[in-house]
Amino acid sequence: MTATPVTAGIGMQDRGNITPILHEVAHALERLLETSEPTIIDLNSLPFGPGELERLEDRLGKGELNAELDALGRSVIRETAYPGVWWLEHRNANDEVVGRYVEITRTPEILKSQDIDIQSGRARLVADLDTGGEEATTTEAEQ
Amino acid sequence: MTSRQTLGDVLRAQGVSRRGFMKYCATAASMLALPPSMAQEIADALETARRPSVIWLSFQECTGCTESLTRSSSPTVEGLIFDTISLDYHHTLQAASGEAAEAARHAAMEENYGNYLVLVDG
Repeated sequence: MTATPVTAGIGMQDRGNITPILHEVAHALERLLETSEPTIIDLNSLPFGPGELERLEDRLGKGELNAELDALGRSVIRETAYPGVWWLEHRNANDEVVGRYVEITRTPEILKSQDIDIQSGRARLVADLDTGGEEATTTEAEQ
Repeated sequence: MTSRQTLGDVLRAQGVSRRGFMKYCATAASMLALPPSMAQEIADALETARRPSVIWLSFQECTGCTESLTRSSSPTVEGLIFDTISLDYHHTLQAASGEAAEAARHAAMEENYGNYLVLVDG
């Protein structure tokens, strides 16, 4: 009977989650292409060993697009090396990570401008233009 | 602030963008161990939530609880009653008294039947 080699050490504990997650991502990409159905994987709900989450992030890599959101704390929305696969990391006002997701979609919803914000912005722009219009009229009259 | 305002209205008035709100709902779903797809349902529910109606009934009390409440700093009592709850009856804090006060209490109870909160001290 041969001895089974055992490798042990700090940071070497692997829960074996990376490969199944990548398979899930592959299936989600197929679903996205066929039905346009998005998929979100909540990484905080999965048990990772020390360093495993970082290895998953390395495996997914970095793509062309990197966006930073400043809303109730900083968030990073980054397309990975696999188009359609996005890495999302939400932080609170204390810069603590409060959510980590892999989102398989064409564009994450949070990147899109929301109707209610567009309406609010339009109202502000119209108000600014009205104010600017009165000032311009006054300036012209003075000249 | 009107009592008809929803939580969504309050958040927007305080400068919380839709993106910030959706971020909060996503992380709330995660912390509650709910599937990420629940984030939209949480958002839909919170968006339309109104401030809960609160009826505060004081009985054999020293008013110490109310005194403590008015000295709260986070939130302040103003922030509490204008942004978080709808304090529809409190015989120490409200301006109305007598029949007008009781009429306001009955109106709040009828309008929010099954949904109002009763706080009792004393």
